[in-house]
Amino acid sequence: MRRNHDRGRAGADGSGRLTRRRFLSRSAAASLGISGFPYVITSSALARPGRPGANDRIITGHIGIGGMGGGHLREAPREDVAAVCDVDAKHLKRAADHVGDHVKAYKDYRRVLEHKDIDAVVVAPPDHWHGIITVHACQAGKDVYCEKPASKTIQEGRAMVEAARRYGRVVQIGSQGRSTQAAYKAAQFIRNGDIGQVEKVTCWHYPNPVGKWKPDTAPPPHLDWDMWVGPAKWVPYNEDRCHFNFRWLLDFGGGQIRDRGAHVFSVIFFCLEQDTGGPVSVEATGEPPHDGIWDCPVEMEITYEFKNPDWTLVWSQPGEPLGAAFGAKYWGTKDTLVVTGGDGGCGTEAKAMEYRVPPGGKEPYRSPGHKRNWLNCIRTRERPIMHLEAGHRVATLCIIGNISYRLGRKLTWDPLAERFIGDEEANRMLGNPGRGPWHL
Amino acid sequence: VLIDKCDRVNDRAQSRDIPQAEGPRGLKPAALHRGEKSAALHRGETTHGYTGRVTALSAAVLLVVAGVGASGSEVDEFLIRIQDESADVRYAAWKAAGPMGPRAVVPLGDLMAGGDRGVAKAATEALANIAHYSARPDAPASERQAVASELIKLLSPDRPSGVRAEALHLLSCVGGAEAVDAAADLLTDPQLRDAARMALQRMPGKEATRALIEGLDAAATEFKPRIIEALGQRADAAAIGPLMKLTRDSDLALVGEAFDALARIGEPAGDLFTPEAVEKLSDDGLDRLGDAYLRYADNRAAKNDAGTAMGIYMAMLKRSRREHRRCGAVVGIGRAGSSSAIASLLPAAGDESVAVRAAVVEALAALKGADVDAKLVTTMAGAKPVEEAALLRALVARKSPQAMSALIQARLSPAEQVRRAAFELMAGIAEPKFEPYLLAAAKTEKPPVKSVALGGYLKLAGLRLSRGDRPNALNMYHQALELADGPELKVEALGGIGVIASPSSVSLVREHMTGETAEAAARAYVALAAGIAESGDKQRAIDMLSEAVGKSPSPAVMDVALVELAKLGVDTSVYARRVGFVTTWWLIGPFPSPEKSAYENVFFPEQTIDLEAGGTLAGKTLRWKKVSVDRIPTVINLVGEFKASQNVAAYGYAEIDRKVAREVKIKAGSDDGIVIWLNGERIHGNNASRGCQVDQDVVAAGLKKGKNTLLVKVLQGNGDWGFCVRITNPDDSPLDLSK
Repeated sequence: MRRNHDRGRAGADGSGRLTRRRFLSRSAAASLGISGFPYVITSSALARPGRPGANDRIITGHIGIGGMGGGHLREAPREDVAAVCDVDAKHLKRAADHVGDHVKAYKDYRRVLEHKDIDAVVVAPPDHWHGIITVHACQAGKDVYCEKPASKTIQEGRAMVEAARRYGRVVQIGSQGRSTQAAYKAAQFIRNGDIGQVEKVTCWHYPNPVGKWKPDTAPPPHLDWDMWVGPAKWVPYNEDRCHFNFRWLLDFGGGQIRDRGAHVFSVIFFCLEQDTGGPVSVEATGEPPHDGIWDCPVEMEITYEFKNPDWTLVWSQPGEPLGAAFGAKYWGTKDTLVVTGGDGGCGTEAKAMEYRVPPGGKEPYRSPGHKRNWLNCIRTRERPIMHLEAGHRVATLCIIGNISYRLGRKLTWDPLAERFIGDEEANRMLGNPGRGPWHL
Repeated sequence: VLIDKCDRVNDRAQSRDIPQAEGPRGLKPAALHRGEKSAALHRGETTHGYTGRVTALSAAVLLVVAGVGASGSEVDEFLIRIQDESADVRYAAWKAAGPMGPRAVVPLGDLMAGGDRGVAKAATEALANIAHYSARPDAPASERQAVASELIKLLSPDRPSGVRAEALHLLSCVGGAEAVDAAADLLTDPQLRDAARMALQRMPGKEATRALIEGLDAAATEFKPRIIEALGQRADAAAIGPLMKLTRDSDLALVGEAFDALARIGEPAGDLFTPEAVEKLSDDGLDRLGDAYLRYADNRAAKNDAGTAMGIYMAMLKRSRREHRRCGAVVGIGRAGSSSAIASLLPAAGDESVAVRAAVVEALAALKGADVDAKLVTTMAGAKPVEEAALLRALVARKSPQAMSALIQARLSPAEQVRRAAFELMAGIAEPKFEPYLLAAAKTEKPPVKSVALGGYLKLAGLRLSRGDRPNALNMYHQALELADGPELKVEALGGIGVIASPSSVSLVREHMTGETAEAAARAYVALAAGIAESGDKQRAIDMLSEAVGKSPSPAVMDVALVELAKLGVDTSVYARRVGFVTTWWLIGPFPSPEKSAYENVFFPEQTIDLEAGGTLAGKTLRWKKVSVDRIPTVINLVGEFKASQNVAAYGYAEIDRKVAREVKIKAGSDDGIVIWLNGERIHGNNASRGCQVDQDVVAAGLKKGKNTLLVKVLQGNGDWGFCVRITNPDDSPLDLSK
């Protein structure tokens, strides 16, 4: 099961201060408790302390309530949900069963944004909708929790950052790995120089799946396919293009490099304090499925070079697995550190988990849990841990990696101007004009 | 050979009952590459393609096609491989297609329309590779132009719309001036106009802007907004005139789009974007056009026209009923303004919206100029409390040297709001000089100022701790724990106490192992026990850890306590068994499970369980291996055990001894699907794709007296893989399996 990685990990989210010595010092079976699975035992103790009172409530709308969005909806206090939205009536029916019929249900997200009683929206449709809906939500004065990866194009990501800035919105991107205890401890360990200067980070992740051919058909009656495709390039309905499977199409999800890269890279940027920068070059190679409907590379390797400080980031699919389905190894001048996962199921080595910041040392931002951090920041108007600039910079890695793969050439990147140097075609791919009325 | 090969492909399509798509000119796909077609292509003829406007430039480009890319025979060979029966051969061909060049473009367009989806995919990928290759940075311009010209031929009306749309998409990537007219002609085509608009939106150069402007007049009403949007996105000032005209249209939707496009262009457009225009707008007009005005002002500020930008921001701040637009105005003023903007910003510090108030601080902090700090301080004198608080926050955010003295002064303010801000900011700065002020306030102030001061005091305790001053930090944490009214600060203090892990804290922490502080206290208690164990008092540590397991409401804390107990030599498996987890399993696998087939397929463990001999699968012997996990929850990680991580399954076998027969609930979690047998009888199956959580599936069952056998089959798609099983009484209370 792969989607579970994206679910929140109640109880393992870094809310305590004393979680001690675990990963890699114990058996693989034991380590799974941290790196791969949620701790979920029904317990009143897992309820959120600090939950707002009735006069401090944050009323939410939920846009896209299938896979991840369904999980977000189930996590939300029912009494605080004012509206739900999905282009699939089955999802809406399921939501009504959960939250009750009193909650308004829509097919068009713009109706949710018109609600004056809604403070914030959770945006979790497929990737190609993230940018437009987030920008429109900011324009409507809503704070946003947007699923990762933040955007589908560089232009979208920058527009999202600008919209959040322009309208003073709190936007959290759903790369929740940063809010885990393991990521926090790894960041402490690395930022305080305990592995020395990081020269290289190598990621591993199992390959993309290989699909077959299923016939295109009429969309099922409960699904508005035209709205599902939205701003993306038009394609006929096919169940292997739709729910969940969109991940394996370059024009929609963009493969593991986006689906999981957005998690792994988020933790890397957090540990290395790289949230406002980017690489100076990218070179991707890969082998797509030779047949079948999906086109994302099954195996893939992307090398990013960074300057000031100089370091290299390598995404390898499959790479060399180190005790978990995916993760990253940090190569410093003095030592190495493995951080498994990158989503809610982060893990790291005992030496980092047991680490204490030395006197005067660097203390990373500490999140009390990803969703809670977002809600707290809505109240305080502070910047959340996976703020939009960070989300955009992380998504940039995924986007330019896929552009390099698509064009079959190494590209030089200007992280300040956010443009490729000396490659006009690549620069045209920094934005995708939206189909129909859907534009930023 | 070529004809035979093509016929084979065609026959293959027929034999699979794939609809035989006719070629765009009524030719079967297999016939498209026969002699007459190839000969025509090699001559660079354009008889089978776009027949619309041919500009002088595109005509010139056509002349170079013959000199670019692979030769005719190479292209023929390539096209054979693209149609090969083997997907691997087709892939090798499309991967290397780039250098094939313009001659291959039209034949590939033909193949894209064929009935064989594998071939169509190969052709589509190959076409894209040719286009991308032609636009590589070191390629001569003529090569890209030649490919673009061939792509234009694929826009011919007698081709399927899918092929034409794909050609437009590729032209959006590589098309230049030579492609503009061909794309523009399609702006009136109901099927392709949007794809044509998107292509023109991406193409560089004034020609594309001109084509869009010309297309605007002829466009259907419902399509005009798309062209307007494209013009705005291109940000070409040449479009200002036509767009200004549209701002006077009777269709308000068009007016809004035109304003938005002009704002994106960001250049002066008559008197449309002035402060006076904002002032004159009706409320509804402001609601509709406010975003455009803010965007325009942002663009003017970015182009160093601060005067225009500030005027619009100020007018927007004054006029807008929408708080996020006031935010936009305030943020803009901060980015474009100087010390003279302080007076304009300050009233918004009392805005009803917290977002606007926060934006005011951000804006004050962002103002540019050497005199800003001094002016912020002098402004405090006559400021209202809410304004004074904002000024304090701005000074701190600016890292002003005057911030410290301002904060110390502000702690004595008669206004609670100012004192609160001062203590909050002191806490944020974490300067040891503030320690006595914060402690005094924590003792004398009432909530909420008291909590703020105590929170700051706790931060300073953390600072002391991080600097190695453990005795003083511990004293501060103890004081804070005593002073705190609510659970949050107590939890914070308990966290610090746990880090220091001094035995002197034991009784204080123990007192808090109830209610809302139970989890934090249990965490601290575990840490204290670990410290006591390290100092040699093993039995006391064991007692404390056992107490923590019993009292902690948190499985995470229980788990940490178990780890510590295990280190002290305690058999911790008993704890997980006490709450009903099955902790010891024999595992065997992996078994193949393409497309979840193992859910139904029967493998030998379902027939015979021989823990010694194992069994045979496809000639290979698999053996059972015993695994014991003592964690809570007891999750068996099958990825760790079997490595194979995709489309497989494994079995787990366990034995449960009971002195008396009883009814129970068997509760399982699995990643992904699971099948369960109890005493040889299948009692449950769930072919799910999911992550593992405790108690996902619940089955009522009966345990017999004596040995009960439990067998599970756990399926794996990809990613994580594992399961957990626990047993409870029918009323959901745990069945103690340690007895």
